[in-house]
Amino acid sequence: MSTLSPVPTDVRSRAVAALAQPPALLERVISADTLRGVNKAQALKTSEPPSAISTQSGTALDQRVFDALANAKTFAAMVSMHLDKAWREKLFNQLDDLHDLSEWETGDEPVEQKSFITFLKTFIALDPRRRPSLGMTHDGHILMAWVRGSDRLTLEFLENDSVRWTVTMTIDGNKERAAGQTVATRLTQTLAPYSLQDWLSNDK
Amino acid sequence: MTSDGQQANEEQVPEGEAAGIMLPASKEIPSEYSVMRYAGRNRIIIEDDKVVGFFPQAFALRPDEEYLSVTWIEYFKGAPDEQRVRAIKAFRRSFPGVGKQSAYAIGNVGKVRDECVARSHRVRILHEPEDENKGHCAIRRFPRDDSDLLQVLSADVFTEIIPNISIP
Repeated sequence: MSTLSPVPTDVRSRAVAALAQPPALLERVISADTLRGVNKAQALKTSEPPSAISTQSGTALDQRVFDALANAKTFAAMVSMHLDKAWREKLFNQLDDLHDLSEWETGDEPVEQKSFITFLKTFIALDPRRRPSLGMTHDGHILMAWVRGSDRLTLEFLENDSVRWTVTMTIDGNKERAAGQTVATRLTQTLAPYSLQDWLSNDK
Repeated sequence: MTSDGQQANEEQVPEGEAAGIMLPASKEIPSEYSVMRYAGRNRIIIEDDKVVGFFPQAFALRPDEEYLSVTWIEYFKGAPDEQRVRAIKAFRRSFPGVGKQSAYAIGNVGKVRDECVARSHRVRILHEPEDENKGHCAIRRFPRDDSDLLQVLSADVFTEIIPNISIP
């Protein structure tokens, strides 16, 4: 696994800010290479999905899933310089997995764009060395989890930078649980009593 | 024979699966038994291609759900392992959309009830058989917005995990 130097805070902040910019402003804040990636992703988004080509008429679900997935990958491409290559590939694979129609449950929604932006901002800010497992709620919120034996930390990404968190861990032989909601920028402070950096740095 | 005087209808149960356990008239499942919860790939935690747990959100009610669906393991006859397999097969019959990467988590009824009551949720865990899954149960009065409860159910109550793919 590649070991990149930590991304300087100001660079990371610019990347986070880019996620909130209208597309027309992207050229000012991302590199030419990244812009090419964004354009490719955009082309993918606007092209006809394979399901529609093969069946002549993709279902509404097919289309919504395809669009949401393409949107998510577009946003990830915008900040690709802050995601190491191995993780970026893993992220895209997990996103594909989360949108696998053969696993789809009736009533589920594809990834919700605002949730995904909160997820990306948080992920870049935390820069975890130990990669989390990803999941998704029935209404399209991205979930993230780290598990160590019977200990676990889970995050649910909501709109407007809000993050719902739960932690279960054994401290000095006593099991402790906590749950709450905070904003992404305060997550480090909120989870400090639960050794957040240990969860993030314990690479496997 | 059940406590309300109804004969267990073996003809309606595929493969003659009913263990024939008597329940109180309320149909409330006693604390010593176990129930099984299904979760699709998106609500399970996978590390290194191995299912290691359920996200708390695997226990969240959808907006249109009035109760949390689970399957009563001991409804089915056989040794414990056979009961689990029968329960999973019954669930599959009742839910055609079971995904290959999905999983089942098993928890003790008494612990489920205790954790709910400890948070002032007076749930009722009732046997409500369905045509294809005679072991189906409904956890009624289950709260819609209690992150703490969902967390404890996923981390400390439903701790035995069975990947769907492990049951042919």
